[in-house]
Amino acid sequence: MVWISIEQVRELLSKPENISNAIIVASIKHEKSTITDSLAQKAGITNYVLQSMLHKDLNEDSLTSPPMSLYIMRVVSLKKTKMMLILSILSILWTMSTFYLKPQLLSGSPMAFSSLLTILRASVCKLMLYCMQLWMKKSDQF
Amino acid sequence: MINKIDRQFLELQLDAEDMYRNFNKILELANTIISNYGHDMGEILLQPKKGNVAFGCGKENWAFTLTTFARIYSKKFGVDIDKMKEKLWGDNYYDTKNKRWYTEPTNEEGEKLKRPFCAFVVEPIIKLSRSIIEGNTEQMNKILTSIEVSLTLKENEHTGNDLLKLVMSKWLNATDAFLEMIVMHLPSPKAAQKYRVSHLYEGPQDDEVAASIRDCNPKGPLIMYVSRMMPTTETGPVFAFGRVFGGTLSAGQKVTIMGPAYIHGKKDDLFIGKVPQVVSMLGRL
Repeated sequence: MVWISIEQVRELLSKPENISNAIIVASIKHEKSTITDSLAQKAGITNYVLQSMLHKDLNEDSLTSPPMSLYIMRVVSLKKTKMMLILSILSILWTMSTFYLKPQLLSGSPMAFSSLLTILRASVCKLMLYCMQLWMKKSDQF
Repeated sequence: MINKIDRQFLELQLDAEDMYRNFNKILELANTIISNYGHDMGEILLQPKKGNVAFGCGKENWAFTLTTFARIYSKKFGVDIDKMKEKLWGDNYYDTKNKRWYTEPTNEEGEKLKRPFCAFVVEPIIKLSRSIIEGNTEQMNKILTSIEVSLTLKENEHTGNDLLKLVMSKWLNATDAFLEMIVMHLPSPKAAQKYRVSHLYEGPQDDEVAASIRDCNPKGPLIMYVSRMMPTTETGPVFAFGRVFGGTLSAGQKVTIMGPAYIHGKKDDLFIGKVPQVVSMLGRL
């Protein structure tokens, strides 16, 4: 599986004079998929590292080259992916801190305050994730 | 690409000259159709001399254009690649004894001459394929040395069709031929949409939508042709797979959807929708 950043896609699409659109039209059993797969493989839009890991003898024996298929994947910005990771880690740490702090809070403060704090933290986490999703959806464009 | 050419010499046992005639017939038929429809597209007729025709076998992942062989033989004959391409197709004949080119199939001594396409392109392929299928290792190794293809010990263990596929895809890899044709002969959308706009857009050819398509303008109004609706799961969302001809498609954007029954200027089969998400299609293992 390969993740292409939206910056890369935008850069490619920004130069239409460098684009060549091709179509493979053929009768049934004329190996349209085989040709498409080999073209996709040659163009480097498949993860050769992962492919090599799964098929160690790929370089030595091209007959074992596995068939590929084209599939749909969400285009995600690299910056956003990094931000998403950081925010996810932060939200996990936030939630975990609730469990660590709970006994201390219970011993020193009333039950109602502790529950309120937990709810508040969970809501903030959800809000963060929702905002992130909204932000990612908004700026993805072709 | 003229496909399944291996069947012509392995199953039908045709010789190189018969194969050449068959290819010529196929190209003539295809060019008749192209000349009927491609009026405003420039020179798009299929001509092997130009390198816009590939011959090969998709199943075994091998194919070649005349450029592939012109590159090999131009070094040998000390001729320019373009001149070599011209010589490799049509009524050109080569006398290997006198090392001279002719335009007629016989030389001064009345000896029959072969077309360079048959002698230099098809016959080596036939020889190699037959030697592999018949298990003639000596001849196969001789040809492999001359075409500079080496096999590893593991690859040498294969026999028959497996070995044929391996050797041919190493020597004349189909992807290289295709990529070469795509890069050298297919127009960019910026060039192609100039003449395609009248076929793509039914509305007035002087409005801003037509201009957006014609100029392939990312800042113009959005024009996307949806060629297929692809369901993800049985109950899940459906992806609209298509191509953007003008403008920029963004998630959350409001779009006007024109159905197949839409007629320009009327409101039948016309809807307004919102793009919830933009996804891209990639290759995977």
